[in-house]
Amino acid sequence: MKSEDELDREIRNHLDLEAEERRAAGANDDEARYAARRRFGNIASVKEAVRATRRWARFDTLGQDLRYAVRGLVRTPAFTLTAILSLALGIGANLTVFTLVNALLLRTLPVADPSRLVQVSVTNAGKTRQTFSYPTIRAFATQPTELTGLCGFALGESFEIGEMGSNRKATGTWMTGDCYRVLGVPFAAGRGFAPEDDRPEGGASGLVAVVSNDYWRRELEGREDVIGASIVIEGNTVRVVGVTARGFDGPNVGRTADITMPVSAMLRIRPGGPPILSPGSNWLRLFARLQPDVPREQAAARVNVAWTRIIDEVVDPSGQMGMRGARVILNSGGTGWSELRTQFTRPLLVLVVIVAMVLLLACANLASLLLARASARQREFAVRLAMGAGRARLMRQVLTESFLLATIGGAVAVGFARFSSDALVSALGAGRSRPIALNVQPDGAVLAAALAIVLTTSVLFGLAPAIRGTAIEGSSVLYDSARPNGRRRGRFASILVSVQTALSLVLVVGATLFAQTLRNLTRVEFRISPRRSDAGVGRDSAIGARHGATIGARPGNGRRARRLTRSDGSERFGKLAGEGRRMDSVGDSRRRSGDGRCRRRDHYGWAIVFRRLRHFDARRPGIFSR
Amino acid sequence: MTRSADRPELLKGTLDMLILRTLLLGAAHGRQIAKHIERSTDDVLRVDHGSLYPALHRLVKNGWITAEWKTPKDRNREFKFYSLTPGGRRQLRAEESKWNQLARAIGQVMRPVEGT
Repeated sequence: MKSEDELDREIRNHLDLEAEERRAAGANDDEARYAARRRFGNIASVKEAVRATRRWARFDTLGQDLRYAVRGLVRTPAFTLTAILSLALGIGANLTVFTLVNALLLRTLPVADPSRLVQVSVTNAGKTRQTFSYPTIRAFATQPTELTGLCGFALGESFEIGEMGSNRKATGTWMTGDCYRVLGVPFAAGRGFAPEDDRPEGGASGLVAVVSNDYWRRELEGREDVIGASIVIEGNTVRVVGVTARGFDGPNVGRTADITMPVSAMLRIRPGGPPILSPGSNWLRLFARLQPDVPREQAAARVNVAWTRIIDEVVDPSGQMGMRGARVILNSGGTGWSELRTQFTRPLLVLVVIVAMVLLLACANLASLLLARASARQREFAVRLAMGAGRARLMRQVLTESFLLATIGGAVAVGFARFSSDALVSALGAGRSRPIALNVQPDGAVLAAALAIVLTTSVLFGLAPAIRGTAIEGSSVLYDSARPNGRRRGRFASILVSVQTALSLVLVVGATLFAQTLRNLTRVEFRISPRRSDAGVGRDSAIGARHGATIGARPGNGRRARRLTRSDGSERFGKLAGEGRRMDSVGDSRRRSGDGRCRRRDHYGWAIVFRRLRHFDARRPGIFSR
Repeated sequence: MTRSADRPELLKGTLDMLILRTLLLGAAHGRQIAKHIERSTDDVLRVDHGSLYPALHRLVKNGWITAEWKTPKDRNREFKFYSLTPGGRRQLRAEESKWNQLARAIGQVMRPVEGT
């Protein structure tokens, strides 16, 4: 290595010169050499020190900073523990919420190139519908568009597994035949079903199903010979054709599907059910994959042309449904679909703000603690400044300490969030007819968020103490350390105190409001769950029991209306007088047994609604009475 | 020659300043710098010659001095000569004023107590 040789040469020169001089003064050769070496000092450690300035200087001082920081923190265990705990709580709360936001809103489906997936919906006169009928989708698929394929899928189902009366349940869903190809779902074994398997008259190879990896491990004991094996579903023998790769639990986020079957299989699994395959039964959410390199807008234009044709031919040939003029919209669908989004997006974002404020408050607290600590260490800093340490170095030292604290706090927080996000999911799902199944295992995004939060917080609470704490008139502190660093620190501290107070106040109010929202969310679901099941759309029910209902009324002004209307799953109940809050119609708490009969929960839900309606009757006779 | 235990230790950080000050007189190689520091402090401040080299390399890295292999007139081999850069001159001025402040401050504390 060149620089190493140079250094050798330089040192040799030095020693030779020194020895030469000593020989000239009369020493013999050995003596001269020995004296020169002694004068020089430890050659190896000199070389080591030179190398340190060269290559690893940066890492070396970082290591030094870290050592100092550890030593400093160990020396004050009470402070350290307080800091780490409050940071762990603050960061943990943020990570918990982020985990949920990530799982529900951000995470893309574990499929091939999810960015090319779009969700298809139609909008007509300001109303948007996300569901389509089975014939519509089939007709759509034959049209030339810039979509490589269409995938319609249903919301959740519950299947009875095994002999009738076994009461073993599995969650499930229906998908159109092309789904697995279109979505690009990876398989652990076997294959997905194909369009040939999805025919109303019966698939090419009988009844087939795809099971999720989780179900395969849990219920089918992870058997290797599962492909081709049969499961009895609702009394029908169904052949397993594929096991999806781990991580894919269906396109419905927050609702796993153990068993997925082709849509047309419904005719045999649920015989005597409603005419779900009729053109008027809009119950399938529709995803599509864009052809490579086709922008979404361009594809949308072509799709709209096709759509107009389909309306005339399939959806609304008579023109009675008022579908003319409807337009198709393509939204990005990489994150799948979730009924939970309409309900939880806003509360989650509120929660994000609240926990961010908790963290800010923790930062403000820590900053003032660190500031006090810094002024206690002024003398140390002053001495180090006098000894030649740069102020930048001191600041880096303080920041390293903050970073260390934040990192330890963050590490604790990751563990904490693992459990608390589970708890939050079950808290949000409390009272729901079906538990929310969100994957809250910390993934790359969560860890990246943790790192980002750690970095931001350590700067947030560390920067002010680093700047203020090291702003020392070097010599003055040495003999006058009793005087704190003047007025400025006082002002800064008082700003901190007001920030803390303000944040605490906002937090108390915010948390109270949020707790209420949360309670409302769980209560709404509990009280009113007269939801249509997806399977039941086709049933022609005059009062809309099958189609979801909108009950509109405004408290106080006497103007109220009851609107029972068709609604796709995404539409919401209107405001119910006295409740003043939104109710989501997508709960789908109702199970229908094979004969289309409603189970008790259903009646219970409606009973409450009608009781409320009667209540209105009582107050304003004549409005609801017939 | 005084025993090493009696000699004051060089304050950390001051070696850089001394090197810069020495190079203000002109380019010099490592041993010349060492010798100059020793001579001009009447042998009071003595550092291991070796400790000069990490300091020199650090100063080069900071851009305050530059190094060049040259053969002096009276020698037949190359020595690595160090010389001051403009940045080094500025740094020297800054260090000098800092040093003066510190020296004055310490001097004030250490001034003879009256009456003794």
